[in-house]
Amino acid sequence: MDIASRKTVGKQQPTNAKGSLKRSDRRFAYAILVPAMTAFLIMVAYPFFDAMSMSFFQYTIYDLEPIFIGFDNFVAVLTDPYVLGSWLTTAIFVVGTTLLTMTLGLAWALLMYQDFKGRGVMRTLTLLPWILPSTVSAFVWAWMLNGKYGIVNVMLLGAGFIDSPIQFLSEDIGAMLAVILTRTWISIPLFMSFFLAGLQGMDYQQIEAARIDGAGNLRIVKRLILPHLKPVFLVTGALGMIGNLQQFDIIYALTGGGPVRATSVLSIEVFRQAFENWDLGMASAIGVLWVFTLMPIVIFYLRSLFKED
Amino acid sequence: MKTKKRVLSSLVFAASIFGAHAADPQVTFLNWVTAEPSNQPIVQGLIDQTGVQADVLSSSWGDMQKNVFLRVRTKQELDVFQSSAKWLPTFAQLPNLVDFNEVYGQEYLESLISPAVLASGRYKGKQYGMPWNTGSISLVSNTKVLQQAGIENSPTTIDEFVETLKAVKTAQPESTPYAMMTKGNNLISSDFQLWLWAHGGKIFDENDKLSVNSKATIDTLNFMKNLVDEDLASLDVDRGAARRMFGQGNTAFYFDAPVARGFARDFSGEGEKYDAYVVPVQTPVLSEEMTSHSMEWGHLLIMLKTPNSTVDGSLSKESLSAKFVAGLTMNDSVQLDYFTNSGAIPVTQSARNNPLVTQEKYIVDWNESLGLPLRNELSVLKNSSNYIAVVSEETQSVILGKKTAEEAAAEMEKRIQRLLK
Repeated sequence: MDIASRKTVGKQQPTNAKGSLKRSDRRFAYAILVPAMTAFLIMVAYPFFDAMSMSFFQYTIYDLEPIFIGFDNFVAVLTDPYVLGSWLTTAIFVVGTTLLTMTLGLAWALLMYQDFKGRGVMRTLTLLPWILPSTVSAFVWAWMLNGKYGIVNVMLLGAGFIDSPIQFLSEDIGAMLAVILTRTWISIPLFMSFFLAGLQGMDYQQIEAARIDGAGNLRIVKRLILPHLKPVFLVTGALGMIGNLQQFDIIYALTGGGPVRATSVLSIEVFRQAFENWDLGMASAIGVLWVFTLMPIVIFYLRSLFKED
Repeated sequence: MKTKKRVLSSLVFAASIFGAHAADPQVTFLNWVTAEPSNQPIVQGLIDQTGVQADVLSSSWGDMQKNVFLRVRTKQELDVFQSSAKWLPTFAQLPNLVDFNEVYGQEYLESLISPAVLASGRYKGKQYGMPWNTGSISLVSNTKVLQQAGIENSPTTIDEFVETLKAVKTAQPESTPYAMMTKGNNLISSDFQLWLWAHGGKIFDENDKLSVNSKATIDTLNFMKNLVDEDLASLDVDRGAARRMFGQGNTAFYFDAPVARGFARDFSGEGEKYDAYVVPVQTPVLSEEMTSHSMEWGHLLIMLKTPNSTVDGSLSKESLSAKFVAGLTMNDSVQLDYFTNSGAIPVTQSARNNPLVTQEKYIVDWNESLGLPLRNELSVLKNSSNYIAVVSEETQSVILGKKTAEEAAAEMEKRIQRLLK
C-alpha cells in the first residue's frame, strides 16, 4: 500500500483510534490537557513522590538533614502493634460508614423519588449537611453527643431510656459510632443524589406493571430497583470507600483519634506522626502504605468506569 | 495629557500609601493566650503597653507547636512566639533561635530576674526562652462548693480527698467533684504524674532509670479509675471544661496554673467577687509524712533571628523584637497588670516583691500549695510527645476498663523502654 492510499484509508476510517483526530486536533487536545496536567504534577505527583522518597529517610525535628535509612521506617510501622491497629480501625470505620451511608442514602432516595407535596423543598433541605463545612458539622455533633451538656443525653434521660449520661466520645464503641454517624450524616445527600439520578433513569411503567401483577414494595425494590441501580452501587461504593479511607477532619474534630486510639484511623496516624511526633519519615512511610491500601479500590473503581464507557 | 497626569499622580499617591504601610515595622507574634476569649483583651492591653506595633496571631494551645513549626518550615513571617516552659526542649531544635543572653546580656537579665526563674527558659546553656509568667500546676479548690458540702478544711491525704469528693457528690449529685483531666494526652499525663508523685512514685528514679512499673503506678491508676467509677470524676474533661465547671460551681477541685483565678472570674460571671472561693491547696498525699508536689509551670517568649531582631545585621536589644519581648517580660507595670487581671505571677524580682503580689492572699496561698515543685518527667525527653502518648493511652485504658492497672503499668514500662531504645 502506497502512502497516498494509506492516507485515504486513514480518512475513510474515522473510528480508528490514531486516525480519528487530525494532527492539529491532537495538538489542541494536548494543549487543553496542559493546565490539568500541570496542576496534577504540582499538587499530586510531586508531593506523592516526595513523600515516597521521604519514607526512606529519618527526618525528625532533631535531624537537620534527612538521613537515609532504607526500609527502617516501614519495618518500624509494620512491627508496631499500635500503628498496625490503625488498619483495623480504618477498616471498621470505612466499612461501617460506607454501608450505612449507602443504605440510608438509598432509603432516602426512594423516599425523595415518591411524588408528594413539598418534595422540591425537601430535596433541597436534604443537601444541607453536605453544604455545611465538615468541621462545623463535627463540632455540632460533638456538642450534641457531649457527655455532660449534649442534647442527645438530655433527650435519652428525659425519655427515661438511660439513668445517667452516656459518655459517647469517651468510650471506644461510642466514639466509633459517633464518627461513623457524623460522617454518614454528611455523606447521605451525595449518595442520595447518585441513587436518585439512577432511579430517575428507570422506566416507571415497569414498576406500575409490577404492581398490577401483584408485586409488593419489597419485591419491587429487590427485583426491579436494586438490579437497575447495580452500576450506581458499584460507583458509589467505590467512591464512598475511597472518601472514607481519606477521612480526617471529622474524626480529628470529634475525637482526635481517641479514646486510646479507638478512632485512630490511618489519616490520624499520619497526622500524629507528622505534627505531634514531628517524624516526617515515619509519617511518609505510613502514607505510602496507606496509598497501597487505597490502590485496589481505586483500580476497581476505574475499571468499572472504563467498562461502562 | 490631563488624564496622564491624573493617572500618574494617582499611582504616586497609591505607591506612597503602600510604601508607608509596607515600611510600617511590626513584630509578628504568635501566641495562644489571645485565643482565649477571657484573656484576649487583657493580653492585647499588655501588648499595647509595649509601644511596639505587633501583628498578633492567635492559635489554640493544642495547635501551638504545630503552628510554630509550620510557620518556620514554610518560612512565613514569625518574630516572637509564646511557649510553655515544658515545650522548650522541642522548640530548642528550631533553627535561628535567639539566645537572649546575646541580646540583653546575661548579667542584665540576672539583675532583673532570679536565676531560678530564668532557668525555666534555659536549654543546654542557652537562654532561648524569656520567662513571661511563672508558677506551678497545683490543685485548686472551690471553697464555695466545699462549704455547701459542709467541708471546712482542705484534705491532706488521699483518703481524706476521696471522702471530701464523696461529700461534695452527696451535697450536689449533679456535680463532678474533681475535674480530673481525662481528655488530651498532655493533660492526662500531667494529672497522672501529679498523682503518681502523691503516691510516692516516679516515672524515672533518682538515677534516671525507668521505674514506672511499680506499686505506686498501679495504685495511682486504680485511684484514677475508682474516681471515675464512683462518679467523683468524669470522662471527656479537659482543662477548658474543668475551668468552666469550676467557675460554674460544679467542681470542687482541679489542677491548674495560677491563671485559674482569671478563668473562675470569667466563667462564674461574678468577676472579682469570685476570687474568695478560688483557693490553691497542696496536693493530698498517701500519708501525712510524705512531701506534697506540684508541677513546674511557666510561659516563655521565644524569639527568632529575623530582620526585626537585628539592627544593622546584628542582634540588638534596640531591635523591634527585643523591645517587644522586654516590654512584656521586664516591664513591672505590664507584669503587674497581667498579674492583677489574670493571676499570672510576674517574673521580674521587683514585680514579685511588689506589695500587690506579696500581700495578695491568693499568691500567698499559691506559694503554700507548691510543696516541692517537680519538672514534668516526660516533657524533657527527646520526642516527648511519643512518651506522653504512651502514658496517656495506658492511663485511659485503665480508666475505661480495657486493661487492669497491673497490665497498664507493665505495658507503660515496656513501651517507654522501646522508645528509649
